[in-house]
Order: sequence, then structure tokens, then C-alpha cells
Amino acid sequence: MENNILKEYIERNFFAQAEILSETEENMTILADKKIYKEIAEYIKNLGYTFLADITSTDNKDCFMVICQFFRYTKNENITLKIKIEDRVNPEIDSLAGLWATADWHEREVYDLMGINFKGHPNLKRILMWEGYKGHPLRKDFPAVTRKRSWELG
Amino acid sequence: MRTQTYKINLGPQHPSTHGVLHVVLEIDGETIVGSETNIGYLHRGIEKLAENKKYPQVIPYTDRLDYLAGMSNNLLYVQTVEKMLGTEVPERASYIRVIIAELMRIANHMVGIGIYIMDLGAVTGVFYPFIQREHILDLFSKLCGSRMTFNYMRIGGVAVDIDEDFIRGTEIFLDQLPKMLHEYHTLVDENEIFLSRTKNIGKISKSQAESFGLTGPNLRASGLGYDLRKVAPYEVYDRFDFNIPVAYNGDCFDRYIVRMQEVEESIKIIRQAMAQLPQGEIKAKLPRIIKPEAGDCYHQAENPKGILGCYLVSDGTPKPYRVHFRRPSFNNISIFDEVAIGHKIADFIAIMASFDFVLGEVDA
Amino acid sequence: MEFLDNIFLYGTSIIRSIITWIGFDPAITNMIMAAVYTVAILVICTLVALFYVLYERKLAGFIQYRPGPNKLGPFGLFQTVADAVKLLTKEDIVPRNADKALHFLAPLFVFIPPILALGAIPFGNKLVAVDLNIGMLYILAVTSLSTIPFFLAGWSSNNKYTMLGAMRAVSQKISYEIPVIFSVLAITMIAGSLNMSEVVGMQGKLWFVFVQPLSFLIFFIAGIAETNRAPFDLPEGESELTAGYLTEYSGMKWALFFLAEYCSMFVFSAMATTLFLGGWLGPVLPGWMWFVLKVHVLMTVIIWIRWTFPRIRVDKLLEFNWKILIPASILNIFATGIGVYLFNNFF
Repeated sequence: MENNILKEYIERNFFAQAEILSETEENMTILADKKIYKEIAEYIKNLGYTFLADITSTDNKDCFMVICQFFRYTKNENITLKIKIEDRVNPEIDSLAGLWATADWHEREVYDLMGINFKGHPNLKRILMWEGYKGHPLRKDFPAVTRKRSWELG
Repeated sequence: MRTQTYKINLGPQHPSTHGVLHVVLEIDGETIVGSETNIGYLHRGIEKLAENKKYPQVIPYTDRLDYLAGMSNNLLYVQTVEKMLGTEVPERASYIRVIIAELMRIANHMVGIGIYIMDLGAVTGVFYPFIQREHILDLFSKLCGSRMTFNYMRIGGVAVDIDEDFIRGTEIFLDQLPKMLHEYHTLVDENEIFLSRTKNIGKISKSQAESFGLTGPNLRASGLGYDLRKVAPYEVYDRFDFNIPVAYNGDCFDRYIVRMQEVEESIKIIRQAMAQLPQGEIKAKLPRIIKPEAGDCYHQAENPKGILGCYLVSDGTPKPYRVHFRRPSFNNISIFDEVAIGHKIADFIAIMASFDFVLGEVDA
Repeated sequence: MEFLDNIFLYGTSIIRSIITWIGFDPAITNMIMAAVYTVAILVICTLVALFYVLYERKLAGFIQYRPGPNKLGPFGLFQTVADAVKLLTKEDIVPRNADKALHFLAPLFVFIPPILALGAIPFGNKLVAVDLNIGMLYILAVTSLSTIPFFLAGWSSNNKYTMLGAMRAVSQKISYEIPVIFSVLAITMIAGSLNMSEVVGMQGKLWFVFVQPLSFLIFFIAGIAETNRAPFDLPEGESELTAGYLTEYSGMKWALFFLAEYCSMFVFSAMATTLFLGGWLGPVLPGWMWFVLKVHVLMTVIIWIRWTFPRIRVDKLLEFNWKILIPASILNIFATGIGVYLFNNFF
């Protein structure tokens, strides 16, 4: 993928805060610090990757990862942006809801199921589970099979 | 005189929310001034359940996502696992997958347009397309023994080979389908009431559609011809000659007409695929226990309702560490709150129906 | 032929002579005869509802490539009866905060206008319960009462959906009343009479539908709207308002609304037949049979329309009425007036 502009931009501005994990014909994966998350996402958007396909998260036991997928509408090119969140007690990250309207629901889903707070989100509340539900089901310490009812957990 | 707005609950039990969608509408007379969409009534935790299953055991769960297009969901999931494993799928299997996926697309669009007309009040409109869908489901149930939850795709290929019966049945089906489409066009397209209910209703501009991550026919009705079958061809889609129908108004009528035209393109694809269908294996050789190397992978494909994506994380064990689905309906309906404002309640029903969403997919 | 034509008249005169033979005085005899007429009209209402529910389902099935009800009895003839039994045994649910008295009364009231109207409609030559000389006015007056039960039903249920349905019902029924009256007015101008039987008698040579085609069209469209049939079934609008004013009704109360819809459809078709299609007039067959046939054709057309068209939107509905139907009917009255004037003075 010929995206030297993005590479240069990252090297120039965020030398220590972002690294390129892998690069193939179609995909470029960037691991970035959470401080520059919004900034880099905005830059990616301005580069022409205007389709935010997905925001999701994983629980890597020692940390959380937030993973965004950006696509171009014209070419089969994709940037994967990964953000590591070290703080397990109070994980927090900027919200992209100001850049893409679709980020609203994606982030609410992540918040609901993984328990990551999005700073600056206009309407951060549970989306799939109900209000008042305890716990975040997709975390690895949340049991998938248990004798208890799911609402008795947490 | 003092007037005030009031709130009504559209759903979770309501005849035209297609399941259990809940929309709180704030209305002034019959005009909507505020709207809040609540989802989650059908949340089954498929992503969490998948973490405790082996890779092939996740396939049946994907049937339950968009239960009107089970085959396409199967396909996307096995493709993602294949991408992680780096497996090459035999050519015949690829062709079969395309044929099946396109038949599924026709079946899905038949439900989509049928229910759309029904929600506008013309109950008869639902029966003509459903008869066509029934033909497809008959073919599928002969092929894999199931009508809705197929579990047909396998990692590295497909479960069973298609036989002469299936091919002949598909040909007969494709021969009579254009007649029905024509009949439907004449019944619906020029109906004055239908036009007044759909033209310029629920308009979505191109930039709105981009921002809300709309995909599938809903995006293409807003003037953006983004279809993964053309932009990032998977399986053998690059070998066929077909068009991507695009409409430019972004209203309810365009969303309907794009679906109708897509069915015609699907017929073209299936005909070509059947003509080119090669002989050979239908399944790649794979180890008994599927253990992808540690790592992650995102893959997406053009489902009937939009782009279904799957993000898969492996830690080297036979069970996936994390499975996430990017469900098209989930993104598509997030625009409701914005589009609804200023329309009448009846228009909102028309908008909802024109989006052709499935709650199984929205709530995962 | 003569005998068949007058079979119902013979029937009533036999009953009358029996009563006189028993020895009641004339006033009481008249009262008993009135009761007999009422029972006859109630029977007609019930039969019409029972038959047309089944007929509509069969016809809808035919339109939609499916058999329709066919399990109970030959051709599914007993389907409606079975449904009625089921509905009678269903639990009657009344919302906690509903106005219970009105909630109970609304489904009863809904039957009154069609029954009252049927009393003045001539089913055949002299075959009319009360031959009023202001029959038309009377029928228009009683059918316009039908707004009230719908509003009562919607309001007493104390539910937002029913309230919306009730508001739609009121605005729709009241505004579509006007074109109905105007189109009937054109007929009155030609006929010079408000008596239903006389209007039929004048159509011996030429049905009024050929004299007043526009008027018939307006009457027919507005009539469909008056009876809440698709594409004007907005007060129910099942895909928008769940069931509109009917949302909180279940069991037999709901069934009464349902049956009343068919009765008012029948009344409307009967009116259209009388005013425009020559009522009972026709060759060979007995008069009442001609009347039933013509009504049946109109009913079929209404059902056919219902299963073909999508529902119109509420603001478009009123727009259509105020901007198209009413101006057209007023123009029609003007044209008719000029025509009548010219006809009377120059021919």
C-alpha cells in the first residue's frame, strides 16, 4: 500500500507514540498511544479513509485494546488503528463521535460490553444491555457459563 | 390555547418494527419532533458465546445474526477464518459459494421489498415475493436440510456439493423470476399512492450516509456505488460481469428500486457462475483441529443488507479469543433518530421498512 | 315471476293477517309489525357481516395466490361461525384506566347507524321498512352519526395509539361527509325528490350513473373513506397505529367493530345502488335479487381495492378531500344546475 504520506506524518509528529505494526497490499495496521487517538483518526479521515467500518475492543487481560477499521470508498485499502489502554480500573479514551456519526453507536456498544469510557461522547449509555445492568459481559473475567443469572453478577 | 408534544412508544411490540425494536417518538400532532431508538431486546451475546466454542462450532451462531440471510453470514465467518489460516478454497467451492450467496441475496431482497409494501398498507404485496423466496428456500432445504439456519459453509469449502437437481431447479427458478419482477414493477412502481408515500420521504444525503456508516442498498440509494463485490472482490466475483445499481435521491423509493435492480444483477451473476462452474473438490485439506496462529484479522463482505465484517483474534488455541461482528443493520438503523425528525408517523414506518433491517443482526 | 318478486311482501302480509286474526287492535299490530321489520333488518345485518367476512377472505386469498379459509365445512363456509364462537369465548380485557362505561358502549353504538340506515333503503319494489319521503336526508343524517362511536372507542381506551386513531377517524369522517352530501345533492337536483323509492323509479330508462358519472365517482371514493376501508383505513392503520382506535379491544367487542364495518360497507353500497345503479330495476330476475347483485358487485370492487392499494398518508388524505373532491363536487353541482335549468326550459 502506497501510503507514505501517512507514514511520514506519523514519523514526523508522533515518533514515539505510534508505530506501524504491519503493512500489506491492502492493509496498514498502526498501534498508537491513546493521547493521539483522535488526532490520528482525524488525519486518516482527511486522507480519504472516510468509511469508519468498525470500532471494537478486546480484553487482553493486562490491557484493553480499541480497534478501528478505516476504509476508502474507492479503493480496497484499509487502515487498522489499534489503541492500547493500560488502565484496567478506569479505562478511558477519546470519542470519535464528533468525526463520524456512526461512532456513536459503536462506542456505546464498546462501553456497554467492555466497559471503556469515551470522553466527549454525547450520549454514553448502555445500548444492548439494559440500564442498571452490572458488569461488562465481554471482559474476560465475566463468566460465560454460570449458575447465577446474568443480572446477579457483577 | 396551549399545546404540548407527547411521547409514544413505537415498539417493542408493534406490527411494523420487524421484531423488537423500540423507538420512543416525541410527536406534535402526527409530526415527529424527537426520536430515540432503543435496541437490545434480542441480544443473545453471540460474541461472548463464540469465545467458548471451537472455530467450526461458531458457524451455526452466525446463522442467527441476520436470520434472513444465513448463508451470507456463514460465508463471511468462514472466509475470515480462512484468511487467518491462509487457506486457498478450491475453485468449485468458490463458485458454489457465489451461487448460494447470490440466491440468498435474492431471497433476502424478496422479503425486504415484500415487507416494505406490506408496511405501507398493501398486504397483497408481500405474497408475490414470498412465493419466490419459498422457491429458494426449497432449493436450500434440499441442499442442506434447513430453511433458515443453514450451517452450510465450512472452513475451507462447503458442506455438500450441489447436484444436477439443484442446478436444474435454480435454472427453472431464474427463468420465471424476471416475469414476477416485471409484474411487481407494474403493480407497485406506478401506483400513485405508493409514489406519494415514498418519493422524497426519508431523504439521506451522501455525506449523511457516509458519516453514519450506511452500507448496502441503503448507501447505494444515496448515490455512492460502494459494493465490496466490485471494490474488493472476494471469492470469484471478479470473474463475472455485473453492475452495481445506484440511485441518487436517497429516499425511500430509491432504496426500494435499488433492491429490485440488485435482484436482476444477482440473476446475471448466478447464470454466469453456473455456466462457468468447474469440476473438482469442494473442500480444502485442513487439519482436524483448526488452530490459527496467534494474531488478529478483520474481514468484510457484501451481505444483502450491507457490509458484514468480522474481527477475529486468535491466541493459538482451538477456540477464538475474541470474535466481533460488524453488523450492517446495526449501523444502518443508527440513522433513524436523525431521519425521523419532521416526518409523519406514517412516513417513519415507511422509512423503517425501507431500511430492511433484521433485529437478530442489530442486537447480535 | 310476479310471486318471486313479491315473496317478502307476501310474507309480511301473512304475518300481519295472523296478528289481526289473533285479535290485536290496529295500533298494537303496527307496533308488532315494526318489531318484525327491525328483526328482519338485524337478520340482514348479521347475514351480510357473516357472508362478507368470508367472501373477503376468499377473495383476498384469490388475489394473493392462496386458498383462503377452506378447512371448516365445504369451501370453509363455517369459518366465520367458528371465529365468532372463538371470539365470544375470549377473555374481555379492559385497560385499568379506561372509561369502562364508554369502553363498553362504543362497540354497541357502532351498530346503530347502519341498522337505522337500512330501515329506509328499498331492497325491492315497495320492499322497504319505512318509506320516508326524506329518505336520503335521513340516511345521510344517521350515517354521519357513525363518527361518534369511533371517537368514543379511541378516547375511552385511554391509550395514545387509540387517541391518534380516534383523531384520525373524526377528521377523516367529517371531511369526507361533505363530498358525499354534495354528490347526493346533484342526484336530488335531477330527481327532484328525496324519497329513495322515487329516485329508483326515475331510473327506469337511464341509470343516474350515466347522467352523473363524476358524482358517482366522488360518492364511491368518499364512501370508501367514510367506511374506513383501505386505502383510507387510517384510523386503524395497523402498520402505523397497531390497530388505531381498536388497539385496546379484544374478543367480541372487537368483533362487533369488525362486523359493523361490513354492515356500513353494505349500507354504503346499497345507497350507491339505489342512487346511481337503478336499485331493484332490471329484467327477468326478481327485483330484490337485482338489488343484491348490484350491491355485491360494488362490495367486490371495494374489497378488490383494499387488497391492491397501499395506505394513503393522513395529510395527503385530507388534501385529496379538500383540494380535489370537494371542488370537483361543487363544480358538478353547478354543471348539474345549469343542465337542469336548460332541460326544463328548452326541451
